[in-house]
Amino acid sequence: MNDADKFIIRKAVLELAKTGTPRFTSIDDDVRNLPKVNSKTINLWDYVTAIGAQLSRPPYDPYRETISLDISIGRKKSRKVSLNIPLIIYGNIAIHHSSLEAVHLALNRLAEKGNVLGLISEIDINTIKDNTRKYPLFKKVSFYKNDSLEHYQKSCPEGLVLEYKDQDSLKILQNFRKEFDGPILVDVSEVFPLYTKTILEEGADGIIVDTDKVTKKERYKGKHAIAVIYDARNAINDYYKGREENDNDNNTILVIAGDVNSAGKIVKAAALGANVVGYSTSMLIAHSNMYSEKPSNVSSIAENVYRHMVGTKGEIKGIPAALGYSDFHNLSPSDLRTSSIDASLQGNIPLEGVDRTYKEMIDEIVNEYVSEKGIKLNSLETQQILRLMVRE
Amino acid sequence: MCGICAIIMENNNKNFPIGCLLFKMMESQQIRAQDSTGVAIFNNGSNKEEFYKIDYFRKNNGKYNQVTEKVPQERLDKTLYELTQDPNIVIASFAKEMNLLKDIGLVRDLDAKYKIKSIQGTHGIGHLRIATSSRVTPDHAHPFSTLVMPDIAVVHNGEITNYSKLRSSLELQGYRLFTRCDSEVIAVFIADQLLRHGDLEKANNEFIKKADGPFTYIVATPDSLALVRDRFGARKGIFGYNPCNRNCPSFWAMATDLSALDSVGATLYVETPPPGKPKIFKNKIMIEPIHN
Repeated sequence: MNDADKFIIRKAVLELAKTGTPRFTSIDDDVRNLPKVNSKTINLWDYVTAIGAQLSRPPYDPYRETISLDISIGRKKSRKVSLNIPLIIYGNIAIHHSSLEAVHLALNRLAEKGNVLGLISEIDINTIKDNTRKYPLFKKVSFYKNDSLEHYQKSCPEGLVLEYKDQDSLKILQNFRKEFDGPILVDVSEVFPLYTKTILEEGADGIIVDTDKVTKKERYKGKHAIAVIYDARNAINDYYKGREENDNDNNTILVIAGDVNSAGKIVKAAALGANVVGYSTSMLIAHSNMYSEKPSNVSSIAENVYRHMVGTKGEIKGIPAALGYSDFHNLSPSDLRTSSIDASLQGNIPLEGVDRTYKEMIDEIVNEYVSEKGIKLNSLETQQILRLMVRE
Repeated sequence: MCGICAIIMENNNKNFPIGCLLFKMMESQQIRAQDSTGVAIFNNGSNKEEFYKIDYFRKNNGKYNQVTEKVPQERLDKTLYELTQDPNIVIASFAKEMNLLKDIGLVRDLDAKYKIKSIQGTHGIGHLRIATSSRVTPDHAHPFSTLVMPDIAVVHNGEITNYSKLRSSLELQGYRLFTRCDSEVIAVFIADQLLRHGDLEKANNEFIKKADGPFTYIVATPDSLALVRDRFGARKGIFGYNPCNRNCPSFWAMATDLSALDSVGATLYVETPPPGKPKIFKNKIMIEPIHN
């Protein structure tokens, strides 16, 4: 090995030690004078993996055993809406009328085959020629309009989606909750993580968090979707702390939208705490028609969306099955491992090799040091030291 | 590959040393697991002084010292609070009528240490452990008890794959768990359910509904035992009856392997509970008839 090689290796090792993340690029990139790795472009999803089956945890076979994806939306007092695939299609499908029609046809066909997904829509399905609907519709409430509940009930939606902006949104939620017996989901992306408790106390059946919107806010600057999902689940857990109603059948649903648009990310998001994933319409149409050679007419787009969803269903069933689960919703952060300290800190995910989160490791080191030196600390002081050490 | 077993005497007979029956059943299944062993034996009405017995392990430089404290009702809350505040203490058992003994090693080691063969009781459970997902330490040995209510013990063979999810949901309700073993979750969950409605069958049905993965477990309460298999019946579980004979009174026995029932002569009415349907045995007067 010559001096130049040694220099490159040393530099790469130092860089790894400094950033805590391995290099994306080839080791001799510096020699070639290519641009350096920009840590901001690192997508933490790529550093999170699901652990495979173990000796004590034999896999189920998704083709033979029942791997349930079913989820029911609606708390104790609400009428329940059931989905067979934990996905809700959302987004502005009014951009092009043919998109709405294609998604409508695909969702109907999926429902006929027992694959019920939800749709969040602002515009009326009634505008479509064949408007018979076999899937649940969540009607989006336009915040700026002062419409009554009756206006939104014209299209007979199974649920409502309310975008939370300010105190007025809370009043709309209170009023609609009194009259509407179906599930009401509240999109809290604009104000997240504030007001979640109040919204749940007013009877929301679930919250929708768009990771793309939230990570653009000052509070989440430099953070990843993983941190948003983890915080959203914690916000819901905080609401349930000490309450008896904490029960799978009556739980608030967490819908994660935004940067979750592939089977792998859906599984990782579910493990971090999402109950349902919001799949953007434009992304869905783009993904499902990516390899299509047919002209993009309504029926061919619908066919591709249908196939894409059936494929996605198979993929998201496969991973929990390989982990020894018979129910998709049993996934938890302990089923994930990460090679990134950042991902471990943001999502409380165990690190590869040590099977403990970075925080747990620091916690142990602090405890050992404190007990060795005979220092007396109360729990608040210990927490402060921990926060300082993990630079929170 | 753990091994579980249980004995419940008919007609609430408490003068027979059921420890020796459990010992025989455990020895016959020792080939399944050799890491650690434990028993929980109940003797209804034996605690005349009305005190609570708290067994715990105190960790000190990797060593585990077992400590037993007898606590009267008026000091119970304070003692439990103090014990749970110490991170080096792992509660092993909280009991009034129950005698829970566990350690690493074989069943003969446990008998040498605690003379389990001579312990009398109305019913009891036993466990042989081979560690799969948590450490081989005395505090991770079965049976598992809970602070939620006294005299609950669980032995388990298999894996609760959604352990983390169940654990967080119990912790959200304010329950404290002491180990990283999935079996402890069963004990806390069942005790929580019993506090809500007091129905052991309903409690187990609720657990079967919530738990995922392959498992068989036996839960013991002061007056009953429940043998439970998962929804898919992925793990074994068997029970049989021994009618009264010259050597011992009649009893029901449960185990993982048939060899264990053979070892104590419980070879009558041998059955396996259907997957996802708990089989309850009560020790009051007569067990529910299951004769065909």
